[in-house]
Amino acid sequence: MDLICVKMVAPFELRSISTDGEIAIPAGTSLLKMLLMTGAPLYALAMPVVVNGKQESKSYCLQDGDIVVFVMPFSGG
Amino acid sequence: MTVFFIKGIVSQPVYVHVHNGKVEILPAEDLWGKDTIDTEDTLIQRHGTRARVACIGPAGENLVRYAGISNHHGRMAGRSGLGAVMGSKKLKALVLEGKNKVEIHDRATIQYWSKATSKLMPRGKSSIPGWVLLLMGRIMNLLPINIRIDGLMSLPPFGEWGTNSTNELSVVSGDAPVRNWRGNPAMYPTKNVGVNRISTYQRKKYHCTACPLGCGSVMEISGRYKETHRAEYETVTAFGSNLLNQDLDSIFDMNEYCNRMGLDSISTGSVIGFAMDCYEQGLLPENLTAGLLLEWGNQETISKLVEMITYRQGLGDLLAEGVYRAAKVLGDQAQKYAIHSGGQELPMHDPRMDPVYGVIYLADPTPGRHTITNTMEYEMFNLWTRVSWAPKPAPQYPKREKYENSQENAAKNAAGAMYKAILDCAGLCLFGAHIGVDRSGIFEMLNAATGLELTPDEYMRTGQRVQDLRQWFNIRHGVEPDQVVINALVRGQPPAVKGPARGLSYDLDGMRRKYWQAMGWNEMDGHPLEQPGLWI
Repeated sequence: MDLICVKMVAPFELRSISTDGEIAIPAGTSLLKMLLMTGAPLYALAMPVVVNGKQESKSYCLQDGDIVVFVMPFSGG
Repeated sequence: MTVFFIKGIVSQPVYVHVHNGKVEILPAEDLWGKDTIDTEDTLIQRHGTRARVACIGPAGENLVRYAGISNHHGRMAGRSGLGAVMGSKKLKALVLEGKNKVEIHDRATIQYWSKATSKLMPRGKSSIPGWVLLLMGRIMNLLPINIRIDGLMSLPPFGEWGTNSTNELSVVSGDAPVRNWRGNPAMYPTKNVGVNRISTYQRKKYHCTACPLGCGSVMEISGRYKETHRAEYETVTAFGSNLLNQDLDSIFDMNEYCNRMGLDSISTGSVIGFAMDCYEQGLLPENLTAGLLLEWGNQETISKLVEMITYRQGLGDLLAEGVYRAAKVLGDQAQKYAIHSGGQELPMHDPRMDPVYGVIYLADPTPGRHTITNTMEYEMFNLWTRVSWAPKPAPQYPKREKYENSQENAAKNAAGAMYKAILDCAGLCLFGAHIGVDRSGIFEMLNAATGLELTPDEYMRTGQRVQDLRQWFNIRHGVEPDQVVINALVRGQPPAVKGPARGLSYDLDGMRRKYWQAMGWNEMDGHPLEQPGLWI
């Protein structure tokens, strides 16, 4: 099975993820499937996600080298 | 880098024109009285489109103590009354022209980091609904834990709506002051200041020079002005929840008016909130109010007061002095409504929700600043990836830890302040720094730009020395750090009885002592332990 490596920037802990946020998953894995595989909390499914800076749905098929970021508002300015 | 020192006062208005290093002082009688945008347009017409202008408006001319300096058609260096300093010298503007190239030691490294940073920026229009941001804010509010936010997470909404992405969230979370800091979120429905509503005004977005994020925007407005820069969160809150004003047209109109007059919108909104509280408590003499109804949310009164402040008319003359001095005139009872630190009106972030703001408001050489450091920004900076001594926060930790007077918290605050001093000296954007020092390569770029070979720890030492100098500057001018006073309300004294800040208080004096210690200053009086020496 071919593996790809993606980087996760998330406000919660995930299983099987390295200290710098990288995870190896089978090629063809969707974002949703990866969240379920890594034990993400349920609320993560409702959070907006950007992949490589572009907003994507949870059905997005992850590619090698993708940077997946969960969107969180910050209070500042 | 070129620095200008302008000494003395002239009798007639002038502006300084610098062309390829040649400095001339030119008459400005024809500019005196013009607003900042007219002034900039006139000077650019006179000197050409390559000229860049920093100028004051009528507020600076009239020595309003919180007048700022404007550039780029109303972008303000707003705080601490530097516009009044220019006004006192009769200096209307500074005009810069030049064709000299900026020398770079190692262009390839700069380009590498620039490209790496650009790749991380959000692309395309964000379709995140405003209610999602609000819901997430509410959830974060309810959680007993603090989640360490990675700066990348906040980029999409920030790129789309700038600081306005937090307008609603900040009210419901208790970060934004309501009703001159004595209200609570239940008093202020936020729908009118949310991103969905803000978006209906948006005409075009813009980037500051070379910025890959581009959080700026021009808003189309109705009334006396056709457009304005998108009001920042600070302005929306100072003229919105702080005054119980829900009318976005009025807020944007005030934004443009303050920009044109050269007023700090934070202090202006704050001083009006102070006046409304005093009016409600019967502390304003009738001869001062002259029939004006200073009721919360009254847009006509707000508009009139800003004009009176600009031209120092009637009550405006008193309010132009700022809340600290105005309260002294009105008597002891007015003091508790004067929300300031060391005479500087406080920004729109409540330290009861993040005590780091309290420490910085009280202990920084420029009191009352929200742009030095705070819990969330420190966590975004990722300094621990580069700086040997910068503490690494846990991904999640109990919220109460923020309120602890610990060495670790003090070290984070000191690191944040030193890093911010570096950003300021390098002319870098605080918001851009949110992506983290490891991803932005700021230390590497500084070495590449200058040819220096400093380590991150050495850069932080430079930041510390900058803070030392700022502290010594105050001391030399008779401003003793331990004499700076902050309004007790923001310490949680007395504790709030309603809202997110209910019951919250913290040991601000103790936290200040530890912060000073972490900065390498005497923990009792705030004097830097190292004398200024040769580098002053």
